[in-house]
Amino acid sequence: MNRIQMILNIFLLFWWVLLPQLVMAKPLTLKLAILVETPTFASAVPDYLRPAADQGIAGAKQAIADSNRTGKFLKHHYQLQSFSAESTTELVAQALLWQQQAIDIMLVDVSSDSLVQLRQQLAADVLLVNIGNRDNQFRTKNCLPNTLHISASYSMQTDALAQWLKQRRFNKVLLISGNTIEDKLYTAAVKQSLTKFALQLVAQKKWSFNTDLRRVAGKELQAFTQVDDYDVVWVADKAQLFGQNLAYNTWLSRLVVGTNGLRANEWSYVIEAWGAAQLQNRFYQQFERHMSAKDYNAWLAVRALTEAMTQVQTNQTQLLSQYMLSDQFSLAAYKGRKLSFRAWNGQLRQPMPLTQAQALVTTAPIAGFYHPRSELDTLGIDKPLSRCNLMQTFQ
Amino acid sequence: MINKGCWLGFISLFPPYLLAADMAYVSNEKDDSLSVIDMNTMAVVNTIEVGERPRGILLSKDKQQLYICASESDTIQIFDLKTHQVIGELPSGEDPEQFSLHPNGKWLYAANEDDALLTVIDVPNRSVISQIDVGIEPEGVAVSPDGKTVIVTSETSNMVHWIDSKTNKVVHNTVIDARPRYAQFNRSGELLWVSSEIGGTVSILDTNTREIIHKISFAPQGIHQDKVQPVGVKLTDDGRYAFVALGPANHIAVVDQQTYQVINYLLVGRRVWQLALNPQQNKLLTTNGVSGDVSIIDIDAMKVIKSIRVGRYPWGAVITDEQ
Repeated sequence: MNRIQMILNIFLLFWWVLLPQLVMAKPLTLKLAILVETPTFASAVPDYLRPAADQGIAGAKQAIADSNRTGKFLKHHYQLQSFSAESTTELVAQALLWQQQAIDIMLVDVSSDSLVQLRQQLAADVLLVNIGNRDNQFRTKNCLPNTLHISASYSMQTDALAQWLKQRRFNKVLLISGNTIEDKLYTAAVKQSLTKFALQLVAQKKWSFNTDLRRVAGKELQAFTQVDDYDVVWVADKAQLFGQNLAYNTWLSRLVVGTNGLRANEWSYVIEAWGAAQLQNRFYQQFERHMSAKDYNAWLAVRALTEAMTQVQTNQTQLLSQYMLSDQFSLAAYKGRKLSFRAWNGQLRQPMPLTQAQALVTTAPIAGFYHPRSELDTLGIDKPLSRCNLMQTFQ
Repeated sequence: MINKGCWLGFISLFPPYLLAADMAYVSNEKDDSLSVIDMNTMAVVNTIEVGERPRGILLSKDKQQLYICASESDTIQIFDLKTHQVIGELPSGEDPEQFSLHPNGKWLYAANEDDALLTVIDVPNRSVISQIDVGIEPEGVAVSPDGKTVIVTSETSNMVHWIDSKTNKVVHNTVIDARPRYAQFNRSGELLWVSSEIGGTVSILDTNTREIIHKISFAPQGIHQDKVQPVGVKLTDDGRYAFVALGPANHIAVVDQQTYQVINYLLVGRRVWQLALNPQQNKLLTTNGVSGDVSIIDIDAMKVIKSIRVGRYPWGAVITDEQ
């Protein structure tokens, strides 16, 4: 009897004391990949407005370096593979190859069509992390399973600007849109935000692209913006074909907001507070350019995953995504408050800085806009208006 | 008529510490200056130019000098308290932010935020003894009262690193809530208090097991949970109180050091981050970064008694009675 008890005790000692230490000390590797659909530009887009070729990928690399620095203390290691291509077919082929190599977490910066294709072709247990696509449909009705969205939706951007207009009492808006698909989606989001925050649409105009603005911007746009009195011009020009010429060329002496002028993106080089200067410095030293919003989103995506691995001590994708969507998860992201996910549609909640070329103007959510759950949920389409209920797809 | 003897008798009624003028030194991060505050009159009596982006400051062991982390100048300045002059520099590595002095008064440990290093400095020789690899954005530094253990917290790695001061090697890492900012040992050295800015908590670690034994959360009335961001922590030597600066919640939490219960919240200036106790430990000074002022708390009355305008972004503070 005594002997059995002794053996049992030794077993228990092993089970409770030694085993967890062995498990804790076990080295873990997390393999990630990033897929980027290379954007194409019309020749009218000036070079200085085109993003760097490694945009997004650089941000992910920075986060891998940061996380490995943390990981070495815990024997955790992180790896990244990257691939860029113009066509959906090539992107899907590469993703399938990665899937074969047992990489089941992929960061993606792709068009809406490619995102749908990837989700359809890849196995259900591959976690997709969207770092560039802002299309509202993926947050409201086209609820892709096992897909997280780090990039803010169009509505998060337009709500952020609308809150600022409301606070400043710039109520009357002249809306000018380009004619790309993205411009249409963004314009729809602007109109929803105008309604949501009770702002007035004075007039809506479409830019017709029959001139090269770099030569005659002054004349053309002054005539074009001659409508009833407005407080601001809200421009929807995702392709950067004319929006950059609106400021200082409006008929009335008015501000420009939207895709140009005062903008609401996840990140900008003007952000310094809350320790942001440290991240900006690290990035600049490594890549010799400023960190863009897409770089920041990719950085966030990797950091969310690696932070989950630090906390949960596992590299199993399913357990990581479950943890990220839980209430325990909080991500420090140099924005003065913790970030978390909206579990119903996989959207990351994050403050939206409003920036002009030389300074941070303010950060939304703006004080005074309340929400029962989190003030961050005043930005973007809220749960009652979303058909998504993704929680179970992550389990 | 009051004669001289009577005056002397009157003065001798007061113990010397009441006569010594406490002076507070506050580093102004964005003004590259120190504000000197007379704690009796509670007024700024001098503003002194120092190196670029001064942040952490602390007193030398003999209380004759201040060490100032001049982050952008990549140096630690030695500031003489008698002459109010910078009399020398210590090699600090790049971008020193916070630091801590070994009880022997000779070794200074400085966190180099941009390089993920902890630099160990020999103060008398003004030389670097060692540089230790730590996590991303090292921030809070503390040395145990017995001098055996050095702590550094890394803000982005979310870790407390335990370093053996004999070997200058990391011997253990404890994962902690997001963005650990500040570490402080209690007087006996048995416990370590660490604030987590984004986690919104203060963790208390047992220094034998190096495990978290308790976590304190804060809920000042009418303030959203996301704005509760603990930074500076100060413990009174009598074991009674712990003060925690709650950042953009604009409050100081008063915690019972024995039961870990929050017993009071005191409203101070905007984005309060660091704290200093006077030698008597009956006054607490808070630096309020965004509002550019400091608040003075009377600990016996447990009340904020004064706000004093200083420079832009006041960061670190020290109060001394030596002049």
